[in-house]
Amino acid sequence: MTMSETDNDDAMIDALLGDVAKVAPDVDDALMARVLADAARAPSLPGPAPARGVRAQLGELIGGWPTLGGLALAGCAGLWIGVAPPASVEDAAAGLFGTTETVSIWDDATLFGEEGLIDG
Amino acid sequence: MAVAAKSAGLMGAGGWPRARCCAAAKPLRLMLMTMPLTEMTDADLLRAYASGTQEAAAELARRLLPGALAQATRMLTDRAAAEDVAQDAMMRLWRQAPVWRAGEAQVSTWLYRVVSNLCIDQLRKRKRTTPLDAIADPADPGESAADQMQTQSRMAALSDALAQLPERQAQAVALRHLEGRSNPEIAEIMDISVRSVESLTARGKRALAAILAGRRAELGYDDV
Repeated sequence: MTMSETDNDDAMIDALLGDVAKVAPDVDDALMARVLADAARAPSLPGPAPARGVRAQLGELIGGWPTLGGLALAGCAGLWIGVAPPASVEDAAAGLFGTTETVSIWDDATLFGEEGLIDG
Repeated sequence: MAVAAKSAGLMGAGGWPRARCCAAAKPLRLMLMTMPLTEMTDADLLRAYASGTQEAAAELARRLLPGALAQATRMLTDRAAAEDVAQDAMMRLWRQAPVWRAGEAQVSTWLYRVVSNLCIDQLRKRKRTTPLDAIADPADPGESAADQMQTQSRMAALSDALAQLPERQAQAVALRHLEGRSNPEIAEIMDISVRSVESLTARGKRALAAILAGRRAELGYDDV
Protein backbone atom coordinates (compact mmCIF):
# COMPACT_ATOMS: atom_id res chain seq x y z
CA MET A 1 0.00 0.00 0.00
CA THR A 2 1.40 3.35 -1.04
CA MET A 3 1.44 6.45 1.10
CA SER A 4 -1.27 7.95 -1.13
CA GLU A 5 -3.56 4.96 -0.63
CA THR A 6 -3.05 5.17 3.13
CA ASP A 7 -3.92 8.87 3.08
CA ASN A 8 -7.02 8.11 1.02
CA ASP A 9 -8.12 5.41 3.46
CA ASP A 10 -7.61 7.79 6.37
CA ALA A 11 -9.68 10.42 4.57
CA MET A 12 -12.40 7.86 3.87
CA ILE A 13 -12.53 6.84 7.54
CA ASP A 14 -12.73 10.50 8.59
CA ALA A 15 -15.60 11.04 6.13
CA LEU A 16 -17.36 7.85 7.24
CA LEU A 17 -17.09 8.71 10.94
CA GLY A 18 -18.26 12.25 10.22
CA ASP A 19 -21.30 11.02 8.29
CA VAL A 20 -22.34 8.49 10.94
CA ALA A 21 -21.80 11.09 13.69
CA LYS A 22 -24.55 13.20 12.09
CA VAL A 23 -27.15 10.47 12.62
CA ALA A 24 -29.56 11.65 15.32
CA PRO A 25 -32.63 9.44 15.66
CA ASP A 26 -35.80 10.76 17.26
CA VAL A 27 -37.08 9.23 20.47
CA ASP A 28 -40.56 7.97 19.70
CA ASP A 29 -43.48 7.88 22.11
CA ALA A 30 -43.26 4.13 22.70
CA LEU A 31 -39.64 4.23 23.84
CA MET A 32 -40.22 7.24 26.08
CA ALA A 33 -43.25 5.50 27.61
CA ARG A 34 -41.22 2.35 28.31
CA VAL A 35 -38.45 4.35 29.96
CA LEU A 36 -40.90 6.29 32.15
CA ALA A 37 -42.71 3.07 33.08
CA ASP A 38 -39.35 1.67 34.19
CA ALA A 39 -38.78 4.80 36.27
CA ALA A 40 -42.20 4.43 37.90
CA ARG A 41 -41.54 0.88 39.02
CA ALA A 42 -37.81 0.99 39.74
CA PRO A 43 -37.52 -1.28 42.78
CA SER A 44 -35.23 0.91 44.82
CA LEU A 45 -37.45 3.98 44.78
CA PRO A 46 -38.68 4.78 48.28
CA GLY A 47 -42.32 5.62 48.91
CA PRO A 48 -43.33 8.71 50.88
CA ALA A 49 -42.29 8.37 54.51
CA PRO A 50 -45.33 7.88 56.80
CA ALA A 51 -45.83 10.27 59.71
CA ARG A 52 -44.44 8.66 62.88
CA GLY A 53 -45.18 9.54 66.49
CA VAL A 54 -42.75 10.08 69.34
CA ARG A 55 -43.52 6.61 70.77
CA ALA A 56 -42.73 4.90 67.48
CA GLN A 57 -39.49 6.85 67.12
CA LEU A 58 -38.48 6.00 70.71
CA GLY A 59 -39.25 2.32 70.13
CA GLU A 60 -37.17 2.36 66.95
CA LEU A 61 -34.33 4.09 68.81
CA ILE A 62 -34.26 1.31 71.42
CA GLY A 63 -34.40 -1.39 68.80
CA GLY A 64 -38.04 -2.09 68.10
CA TRP A 65 -40.37 -4.80 69.38
CA PRO A 66 -37.75 -7.58 69.70
CA THR A 67 -35.67 -5.47 72.07
CA LEU A 68 -38.71 -4.31 74.05
CA GLY A 69 -39.88 -7.93 74.38
CA GLY A 70 -36.47 -9.03 75.60
CA LEU A 71 -36.40 -6.18 78.10
CA ALA A 72 -39.82 -7.15 79.47
CA LEU A 73 -38.82 -10.81 79.76
CA ALA A 74 -35.56 -9.95 81.53
CA GLY A 75 -37.47 -7.63 83.91
CA CYS A 76 -39.96 -10.38 84.81
CA ALA A 77 -37.20 -12.93 85.34
CA GLY A 78 -35.29 -10.49 87.57
CA LEU A 79 -38.38 -9.75 89.61
CA TRP A 80 -39.14 -13.46 89.99
CA ILE A 81 -35.60 -14.29 91.08
CA GLY A 82 -35.68 -11.39 93.50
CA VAL A 83 -38.98 -12.38 95.07
CA ALA A 84 -38.39 -16.16 95.11
CA PRO A 85 -34.73 -16.92 94.55
CA PRO A 86 -34.11 -20.59 93.68
CA ALA A 87 -31.87 -22.55 96.07
CA SER A 88 -29.05 -22.67 93.54
CA VAL A 89 -28.96 -18.87 93.39
CA GLU A 90 -28.78 -18.61 97.17
CA ASP A 91 -26.05 -21.29 97.26
CA ALA A 92 -24.03 -19.43 94.67
CA ALA A 93 -24.47 -16.16 96.54
CA ALA A 94 -23.39 -17.83 99.74
CA GLY A 95 -20.30 -19.20 98.01
CA LEU A 96 -19.39 -15.77 96.71
CA PHE A 97 -20.26 -13.50 99.60
CA GLY A 98 -20.31 -15.83 102.62
CA THR A 99 -23.52 -16.24 104.59
CA THR A 100 -26.68 -14.71 103.18
CA GLU A 101 -29.87 -13.84 104.84
CA THR A 102 -33.23 -13.67 103.09
CA VAL A 103 -35.64 -11.11 104.41
CA SER A 104 -39.23 -11.29 103.23
CA ILE A 105 -40.83 -7.87 102.99
CA TRP A 106 -44.30 -9.32 102.59
CA ASP A 107 -46.09 -12.00 104.40
CA ASP A 108 -46.05 -15.05 102.13
CA ALA A 109 -49.54 -16.09 103.07
CA THR A 110 -50.83 -12.62 102.18
CA LEU A 111 -49.20 -12.64 98.78
CA PHE A 112 -49.56 -16.20 97.62
CA GLY A 113 -52.25 -17.78 99.76
CA GLU A 114 -52.04 -20.22 102.60
CA GLU A 115 -49.69 -22.67 100.92
CA GLY A 116 -47.27 -20.01 99.84
CA LEU A 117 -45.17 -20.25 96.70
CA ILE A 118 -41.85 -19.35 98.23
CA ASP A 119 -39.82 -22.35 99.17
CA GLY A 120 -36.49 -20.57 99.67
CA MET B 1 -43.21 12.09 19.90
CA ALA B 2 -40.12 13.51 18.38
CA VAL B 3 -38.16 14.93 21.26
CA ALA B 4 -37.24 18.41 20.24
CA ALA B 5 -34.45 18.94 22.72
CA LYS B 6 -31.98 19.78 20.01
CA SER B 7 -34.13 22.45 18.50
CA ALA B 8 -34.87 23.83 21.95
CA GLY B 9 -31.17 24.54 22.40
CA LEU B 10 -30.70 22.05 25.19
CA MET B 11 -28.33 19.73 23.38
CA GLY B 12 -24.60 20.15 23.11
CA ALA B 13 -22.21 18.62 20.58
CA GLY B 14 -22.79 14.94 20.03
CA GLY B 15 -26.44 15.10 20.98
CA TRP B 16 -26.04 15.32 24.77
CA PRO B 17 -27.31 18.07 27.02
CA ARG B 18 -25.04 20.89 27.96
CA ALA B 19 -23.88 20.87 31.54
CA ARG B 20 -26.16 22.83 33.81
CA CYS B 21 -24.56 24.79 36.56
CA CYS B 22 -27.22 27.17 37.75
CA ALA B 23 -28.27 25.17 40.79
CA ALA B 24 -26.00 25.29 43.79
CA ALA B 25 -26.17 22.64 46.50
CA LYS B 26 -29.49 23.68 48.03
CA PRO B 27 -31.61 21.51 50.26
CA LEU B 28 -33.69 19.34 47.96
CA ARG B 29 -37.09 20.27 49.39
CA LEU B 30 -36.35 23.99 49.11
CA MET B 31 -35.06 23.52 45.59
CA LEU B 32 -38.17 21.64 44.50
CA MET B 33 -40.35 24.44 45.89
CA THR B 34 -38.42 27.32 44.36
CA MET B 35 -36.89 26.06 41.12
CA PRO B 36 -38.51 24.64 37.96
CA LEU B 37 -37.33 21.11 37.12
CA THR B 38 -36.07 22.37 33.77
CA GLU B 39 -33.47 24.51 35.55
CA MET B 40 -32.17 21.84 37.92
CA THR B 41 -28.94 19.94 37.28
CA ASP B 42 -29.08 16.32 36.23
CA ALA B 43 -27.70 15.28 39.61
CA ASP B 44 -30.36 17.27 41.48
CA LEU B 45 -33.08 15.77 39.30
CA LEU B 46 -31.73 12.33 40.14
CA ARG B 47 -31.91 13.20 43.85
CA ALA B 48 -35.45 14.46 43.42
CA TYR B 49 -36.44 11.28 41.60
CA ALA B 50 -34.86 9.17 44.35
CA SER B 51 -36.93 11.04 46.91
CA GLY B 52 -40.13 10.18 45.04
CA THR B 53 -40.64 13.02 42.52
CA GLN B 54 -41.64 11.18 39.34
CA GLU B 55 -41.68 14.38 37.28
CA ALA B 56 -37.92 14.57 37.79
CA ALA B 57 -37.57 11.23 35.97
CA ALA B 58 -39.57 12.60 33.05
CA GLU B 59 -37.30 15.65 32.82
CA LEU B 60 -34.18 13.47 33.05
CA ALA B 61 -35.48 11.17 30.33
CA ARG B 62 -36.28 14.16 28.12
CA ARG B 63 -32.70 15.39 28.52
CA LEU B 64 -30.74 12.17 28.43
CA LEU B 65 -32.67 9.60 26.41
CA PRO B 66 -32.12 11.24 22.98
CA GLY B 67 -28.35 11.21 23.54
CA ALA B 68 -28.32 7.64 24.79
CA LEU B 69 -30.37 6.49 21.80
CA ALA B 70 -28.18 8.41 19.36
CA GLN B 71 -24.98 7.00 20.85
CA ALA B 72 -26.32 3.46 20.69
CA THR B 73 -27.68 3.89 17.14
CA ARG B 74 -24.37 5.21 15.83
CA MET B 75 -22.50 2.26 17.27
CA LEU B 76 -25.02 -0.50 16.55
CA THR B 77 -27.00 0.79 13.50
CA ASP B 78 -29.85 -1.58 14.39
CA ARG B 79 -32.65 0.62 15.72
CA ALA B 80 -34.30 -2.06 17.87
CA ALA B 81 -31.01 -3.01 19.50
CA ALA B 82 -30.18 0.66 20.07
CA GLU B 83 -33.56 1.24 21.74
CA ASP B 84 -32.99 -1.75 24.01
CA VAL B 85 -29.58 -0.40 24.99
CA ALA B 86 -30.95 3.09 25.66
CA GLN B 87 -33.80 1.71 27.77
CA ASP B 88 -31.44 -0.59 29.67
CA ALA B 89 -29.05 2.30 30.36
CA MET B 90 -31.88 4.49 31.68
CA MET B 91 -33.11 1.62 33.85
CA ARG B 92 -29.66 1.39 35.38
CA LEU B 93 -29.79 5.12 36.03
CA TRP B 94 -33.10 4.78 37.88
CA ARG B 95 -31.64 1.98 40.00
CA GLN B 96 -28.55 4.05 40.68
CA ALA B 97 -30.54 7.09 41.85
CA PRO B 98 -30.86 6.22 45.57
CA VAL B 99 -27.12 5.63 45.90
CA TRP B 100 -25.94 8.37 43.54
CA ARG B 101 -23.13 10.34 45.12
CA ALA B 102 -23.07 13.94 43.98
CA GLY B 103 -19.71 15.24 42.85
CA GLU B 104 -18.21 11.91 41.85
CA ALA B 105 -19.19 12.07 38.20
CA GLN B 106 -21.60 13.91 35.95
CA VAL B 107 -24.74 11.97 35.20
CA SER B 108 -24.13 12.35 31.46
CA THR B 109 -20.58 11.02 31.81
CA TRP B 110 -21.87 8.04 33.75
CA LEU B 111 -24.50 7.38 31.10
CA TYR B 112 -21.96 7.62 28.25
CA ARG B 113 -19.99 4.91 30.01
CA VAL B 114 -23.00 2.66 30.52
CA VAL B 115 -24.27 3.03 26.94
CA SER B 116 -20.78 2.50 25.58
CA ASN B 117 -20.27 -0.67 27.61
CA LEU B 118 -23.69 -2.04 26.64
CA CYS B 119 -22.95 -1.36 22.97
CA ILE B 120 -19.59 -3.09 23.22
CA ASP B 121 -21.39 -6.11 24.68
CA GLN B 122 -23.75 -6.10 21.69
CA LEU B 123 -20.88 -5.77 19.22
CA ARG B 124 -19.07 -8.64 20.94
CA LYS B 125 -22.13 -10.87 20.52
CA ARG B 126 -22.44 -9.80 16.90
CA LYS B 127 -18.80 -10.70 16.24
CA ARG B 128 -19.54 -14.23 17.46
CA THR B 129 -22.58 -14.58 15.20
CA THR B 130 -23.10 -12.90 11.84
CA PRO B 131 -22.30 -9.43 10.52
CA LEU B 132 -25.08 -6.89 10.38
CA ASP B 133 -26.80 -7.11 7.00
CA ALA B 134 -30.23 -5.84 7.86
CA ILE B 135 -30.89 -2.24 7.05
CA ALA B 136 -32.32 -0.38 10.00
CA ASP B 137 -35.11 2.16 9.86
CA PRO B 138 -34.39 5.27 7.84
CA ALA B 139 -32.25 7.67 9.84
CA ASP B 140 -33.68 10.88 8.48
CA PRO B 141 -37.09 11.06 6.83
CA GLY B 142 -35.91 14.11 4.93
CA GLU B 143 -33.33 12.13 2.96
CA SER B 144 -34.14 10.56 -0.40
CA ALA B 145 -34.52 6.78 -0.48
CA ALA B 146 -31.12 6.42 -2.17
CA ASP B 147 -29.44 8.64 0.40
CA GLN B 148 -31.08 6.71 3.23
CA MET B 149 -29.81 3.45 1.77
CA GLN B 150 -26.34 4.94 1.47
CA THR B 151 -26.40 6.23 5.06
CA GLN B 152 -27.61 2.88 6.39
CA SER B 153 -25.03 1.03 4.35
CA ARG B 154 -22.27 3.23 5.78
CA MET B 155 -23.57 2.85 9.31
CA ALA B 156 -23.72 -0.93 8.98
CA ALA B 157 -20.20 -1.06 7.51
CA LEU B 158 -18.82 1.07 10.34
CA SER B 159 -20.68 -0.90 13.01
CA ASP B 160 -19.40 -4.21 11.65
CA ALA B 161 -15.88 -2.79 11.48
CA LEU B 162 -16.11 -1.54 15.09
CA ALA B 163 -17.19 -5.05 16.10
CA GLN B 164 -13.90 -6.36 14.72
CA LEU B 165 -11.75 -3.95 16.72
CA PRO B 166 -10.43 -4.66 20.20
CA GLU B 167 -13.14 -3.43 22.55
CA ARG B 168 -11.23 -0.53 24.08
CA GLN B 169 -10.24 0.77 20.65
CA ALA B 170 -13.84 0.59 19.43
CA GLN B 171 -15.04 2.38 22.54
CA ALA B 172 -12.44 5.16 22.26
CA VAL B 173 -13.00 5.69 18.52
CA ALA B 174 -16.78 5.85 18.96
CA LEU B 175 -16.60 8.31 21.84
CA ARG B 176 -14.05 10.51 20.07
CA HIS B 177 -15.30 10.50 16.51
CA LEU B 178 -19.00 9.61 16.74
CA GLU B 179 -19.89 11.36 20.00
CA GLY B 180 -17.40 14.21 19.69
CA ARG B 181 -16.10 13.87 23.25
CA SER B 182 -12.76 15.40 24.15
CA ASN B 183 -9.82 13.19 25.11
CA PRO B 184 -10.00 14.18 28.81
CA GLU B 185 -13.72 13.39 28.84
CA ILE B 186 -13.09 10.01 27.23
CA ALA B 187 -10.34 9.37 29.77
CA GLU B 188 -12.88 9.95 32.54
CA ILE B 189 -15.58 7.87 30.86
CA MET B 190 -13.21 4.94 30.26
CA ASP B 191 -11.24 5.46 33.46
CA ILE B 192 -7.89 5.57 31.67
CA SER B 193 -5.22 8.22 31.03
CA VAL B 194 -5.48 10.82 28.27
CA ARG B 195 -2.35 9.34 26.71
CA SER B 196 -4.06 5.94 26.54
CA VAL B 197 -7.06 7.55 24.87
CA GLU B 198 -4.83 9.10 22.22
CA SER B 199 -3.15 5.78 21.58
CA LEU B 200 -6.41 3.83 21.44
CA THR B 201 -8.11 6.24 19.04
CA ALA B 202 -5.09 6.39 16.72
CA ARG B 203 -4.73 2.60 16.58
CA GLY B 204 -8.48 2.19 16.26
CA LYS B 205 -8.70 4.50 13.28
CA ARG B 206 -5.79 2.77 11.55
CA ALA B 207 -7.48 -0.60 12.12
CA LEU B 208 -10.79 0.72 10.76
CA ALA B 209 -9.02 2.00 7.65
CA ALA B 210 -7.45 -1.42 7.12
CA ILE B 211 -10.76 -3.24 7.58
CA LEU B 212 -12.70 -0.95 5.23
CA ALA B 213 -9.93 -0.32 2.70
CA GLY B 214 -11.58 -2.30 -0.10
CA ARG B 215 -15.05 -0.85 0.32
CA ARG B 216 -14.50 2.73 -0.83
CA ALA B 217 -16.66 2.50 -3.96
CA GLU B 218 -19.35 0.44 -2.24
CA LEU B 219 -19.69 3.06 0.47
CA GLY B 220 -19.74 5.94 -2.01
CA TYR B 221 -16.39 7.49 -1.08
CA ASP B 222 -14.77 7.29 -4.53
CA ASP B 223 -14.18 11.00 -4.57
CA VAL B 224 -12.64 11.22 -1.09
